[in-house]
Amino acid sequence: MTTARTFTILACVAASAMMGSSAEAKKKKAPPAAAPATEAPATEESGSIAPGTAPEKSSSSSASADAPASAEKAEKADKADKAWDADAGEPAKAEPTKPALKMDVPAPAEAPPPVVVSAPAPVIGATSLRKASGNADSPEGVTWRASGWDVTLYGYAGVNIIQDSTQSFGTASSNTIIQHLGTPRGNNLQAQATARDSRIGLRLAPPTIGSVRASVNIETDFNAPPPVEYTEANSVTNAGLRMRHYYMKVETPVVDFIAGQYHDLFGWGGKGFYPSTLAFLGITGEIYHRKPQVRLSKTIGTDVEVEVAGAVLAPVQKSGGYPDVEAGIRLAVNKWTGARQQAYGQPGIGSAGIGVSGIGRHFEVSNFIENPSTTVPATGYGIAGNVFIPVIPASSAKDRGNALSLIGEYSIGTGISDMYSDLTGGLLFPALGNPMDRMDPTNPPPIYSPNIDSGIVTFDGDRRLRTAQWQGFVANLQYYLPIAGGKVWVAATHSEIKSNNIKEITPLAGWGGIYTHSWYNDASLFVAITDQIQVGVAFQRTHQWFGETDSSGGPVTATNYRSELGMHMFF
Amino acid sequence: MNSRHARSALLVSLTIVGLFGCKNEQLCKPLGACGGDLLAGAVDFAKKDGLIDRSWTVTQASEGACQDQLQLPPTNISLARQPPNLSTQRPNDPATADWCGNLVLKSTGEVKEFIVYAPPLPLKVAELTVSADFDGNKDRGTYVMQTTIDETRDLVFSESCITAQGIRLSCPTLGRRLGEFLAAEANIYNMRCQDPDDKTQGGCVCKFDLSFIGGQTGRWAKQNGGTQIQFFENVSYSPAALADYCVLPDASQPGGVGALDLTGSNETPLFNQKGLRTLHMTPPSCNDGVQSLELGEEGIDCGGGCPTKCGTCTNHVHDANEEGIDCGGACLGILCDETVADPNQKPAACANKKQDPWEEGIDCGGPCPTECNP
Repeated sequence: MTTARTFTILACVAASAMMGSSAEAKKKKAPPAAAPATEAPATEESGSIAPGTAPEKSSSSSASADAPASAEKAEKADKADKAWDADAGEPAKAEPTKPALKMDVPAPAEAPPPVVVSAPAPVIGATSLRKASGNADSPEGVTWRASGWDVTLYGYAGVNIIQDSTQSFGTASSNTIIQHLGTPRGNNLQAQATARDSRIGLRLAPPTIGSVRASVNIETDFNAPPPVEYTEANSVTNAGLRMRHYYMKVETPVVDFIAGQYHDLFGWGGKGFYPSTLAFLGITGEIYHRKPQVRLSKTIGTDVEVEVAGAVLAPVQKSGGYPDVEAGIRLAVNKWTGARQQAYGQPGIGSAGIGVSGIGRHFEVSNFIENPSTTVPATGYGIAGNVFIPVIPASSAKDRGNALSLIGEYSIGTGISDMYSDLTGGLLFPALGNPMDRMDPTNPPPIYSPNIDSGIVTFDGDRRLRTAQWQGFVANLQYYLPIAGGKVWVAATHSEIKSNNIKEITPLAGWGGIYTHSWYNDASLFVAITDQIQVGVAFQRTHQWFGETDSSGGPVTATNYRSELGMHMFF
Repeated sequence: MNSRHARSALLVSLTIVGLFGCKNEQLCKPLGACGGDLLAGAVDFAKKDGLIDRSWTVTQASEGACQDQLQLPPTNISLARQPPNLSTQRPNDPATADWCGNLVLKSTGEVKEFIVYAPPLPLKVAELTVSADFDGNKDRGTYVMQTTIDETRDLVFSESCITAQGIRLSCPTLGRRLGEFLAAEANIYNMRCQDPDDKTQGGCVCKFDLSFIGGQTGRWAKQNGGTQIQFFENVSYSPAALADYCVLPDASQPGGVGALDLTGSNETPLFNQKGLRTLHMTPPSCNDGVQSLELGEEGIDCGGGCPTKCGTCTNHVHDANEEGIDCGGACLGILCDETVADPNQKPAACANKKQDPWEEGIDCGGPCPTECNP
C-alpha cells in the first residue's frame, strides 16, 4: 500500500500541474466551440504480439465548413453524426471558417471576448486552416486545403499511468496470462507510465471526380515492439512508430472500396462497437484486430441504414495459401442516437446499431514431425454479433447529460485466437516425442518448427491438427452524468473469454500453463476538462482459471488488479 | 465545464486510484510471530542423549499446512537440450510437454525411457522434532523435519504414443512395464493402466501413486529477538530458511506448550519446500495420522504410548491405519479394490479373485506382484 500511496501522490502532482496549465490555457484560448460530435480515435496499446486498434473515426474524410458538400460525407459511418447535427439545429456548414490552428475550448462565463488569432501560413500553400472533420464543431483534427486537397491532421498526445498488483501485463492487459501467486512476478506490484499510445494521423482527400470520392488515411502510434536488446528505459522513452491504419478509400454511387490496412470487418471494427474504457483495447474477449485488406461495401438507406460488406484479408498464416475472408451486415437506426465513447477517445453521438459478421480461413500446418515435408489442412471460422443501444438517447454531443448507452459483443469461433489481442491462453505446440532417446547436445532431441503462430492450432495426443475454440463476450455501459452537459461520465465493463477445448488439446503436464477462462471487469470515470483535454481513472480486475487443480482439488486461479490514470489532449 | 467541477471529479478519481492500488492478498495468510520457548518443559525422548526434545505434527486432514497453487508446467526437456542458437538465428518456438512423456520402448516391450511429471504436491503429514544444542542451550540446536507428500496422479497415453515405436502393448501390460521401469523410483507406487471407457478412442488411461517420504535434518537457531527461527539444512546446499514462529500455550494445561505456528519469513517457503508457506502444528497424539517419535509409536497412531496395537499388512484384518484389509494407508504399494465400499470388507485388488481392468489376468500382471502364467 505504501507504493500505492506514493504512486497516487505522484499522480496527484501530475494532475495538479496539468489542471493548472489547462486553466491557464483557458484564459488564452478562443471562444467556446461546440462540443465534440464524433468519436475520436479508439485507443489501444498492444503488447508485442498482437497489434490492433482502431480509430473509430479515423476513416472519416475531412470536410470543412466551406468544403464541398460531397467532401463532408467521406464515410457512410458519419451519416449518423450528420443526422444529429441536423436534428440539433446545428448545420454543419454554418460555422465560419476558423483561421487559426488551435483548439477551441469553452470559456468560463466571465471570459473576455474571444480573440481570433491569425493563422500562420500553411506549409503546403494552404488556402485556409481551420478545425475540421465531418462536422464543423468536431474537435477531430485540423484541416487545411493544399493544392485542392483537403488535408486533415489528427491524433492525440497523453500519458497513461498504471499500477498492477502482479507483474503479468505490459501496458495492455488484453488476454495475457496472469502470473501465479507464490512467484516473484505474481506476488509483487508493478507500475508503468506510457505515452506510447499517443497518436498522429493524416487524411488526404483530393477533389471529387463526379460522384467518386477518394481519400487516403495514414495513422501511426508509437507501439512498435522494441528490439530485444532494448533496455526497459529505452523501450519506454524511445518508442518506435507503428503502422496502425494505412489505406485508401474510394466511394462511388455503386459500391465503396477500401484497400490497405484497416480494422477487420469481423466484429465490425471501427463502426462504433468498441467499449468505453480507460483500458487499452482490445480488452479480454473483445475482437480487436487490423489487417491489410481489400473491402467492398454497399450502404443503402438513410433513416435506417444497412451496410453489407465483404473483404479479403492478409491470412494469419501465409503458408495457408489463401487469404482470410470476412463478411458482415450492419444495420443502423439513424434517428435513434446516443452518446458513445470508444475506449478513452472523445465521446460523440452514434446511431443505434447491430452488426453480424463472420470470418473464414484456411491453414496448412507442417506435419508434426521433425523435418516435415507435407502439411495438414485445417479450417478456422467464427461469427460475431455486435450491438449498440442508446438506452437513454442523446442527440447532441454538446448536451449528452443523462445519456446511457449499452455496447455488447458476442463472438465464437475456432482457429481465430489472433482476432483477440495477445490471446493464446498458454496454448503451445507440444514437444515432439523422442523415441530414439536423443539427449546429447550433439544429437539433440527432435524439435518441431511450426509454420504458424502459437495459440491458433496445435496437435493433440493422436497427432491430429486441432484448432483452439474460443468464445468471447463483452458488455459495456456508459452513463453521462447530468453535469455540465455530460462532461463527466462513468463506464463499466464486463467481458470474458473461455475455451471449451484448450485442456483437451494440451498435454496434462502443461495444464498449469494454460487458462480455460478469463474474466475482466472495469469501472472508469472520465472528465472532459475542456473539449480537447480528458482525464480518466479506472479500476480493472482480471481473473483467470487455469487448467490445473490445486492441492485441495479446486481450480488454480490468479487475479490482477489494475489502477489506471490517463490524461489526453486530442487534436 | 467549470474548473471547480473538474477539480472535484479529479480528486475523487485520484482517491479511487489510491484506494484500490494495492498488492494481491497472499493465498496463505501469515500466522503469528510471537516467538516463545520451544523447549519449555521438554524431555529427552528422541536420541536418549540427555538433550531435551519436543515435536509437533501436522496433517492434511487438519488443514494445518498452507501451500501456494504452484502447478506450473515443467521445463521442456527437448528445448533445454538444444544447442545454443546462433545470434542471427531465430530461437526455437516454445513448446509445451510431450504428449507421450518421452516414452521410449525397447523392441522387447520393456520401457527404456519415461519422464514422470511431478508438480509440487500437497503435504500429507509432517512431524517436526527440535532438540536442544549439545551444550544444553535451548535457543539453538538440531531438528528433524519428516514429511510425507502423496497424491494419485493421472497419465493419458494416446494410441499414437503407444504404437509410435512399432509395438502395441495392451494397457495392463504397459502399466506393468512402466511399473518395472519406475521400480527404482522409491516414490512411485501402483503404476497401472487400463483401456479408456470409450475403447474406440484407443490409447491407455493410467494412474500411479506418488509418495515422497523424506525430510530434512539440520540445525536451528533463534533470530531477531526470539521471533524467528533460522533452519540450516545439513545435506543439501539450500540456503538457510528463515521462519516466523509462535509457540501457543496449551489451553488444557497451565504453563504447557501447545501448538506451533510457522510462517516463511518475507514470503519465503518454509524449509525450502516449494510453495509451502505456513504450518500450524500441534503436539502429537494417537489419532493425528502421524507415526510420532515422541509418543514412541511403532506405526501410525499405534503401538508405543498409544492404546491401539499395530497390525501388519498380512494379518487379514482391517487395521486402523489401512484403507481396507491389508491394503492402502500404511500398506504402501498395495492397492485396494475400490469397488467395495466397506473398509472392513475391502480386499486388496490383487487378491479379490477377479480380473480388474488394469490386470493382465485374475489377480496377476499389471500392478500385482504375481506374474501371469504365459
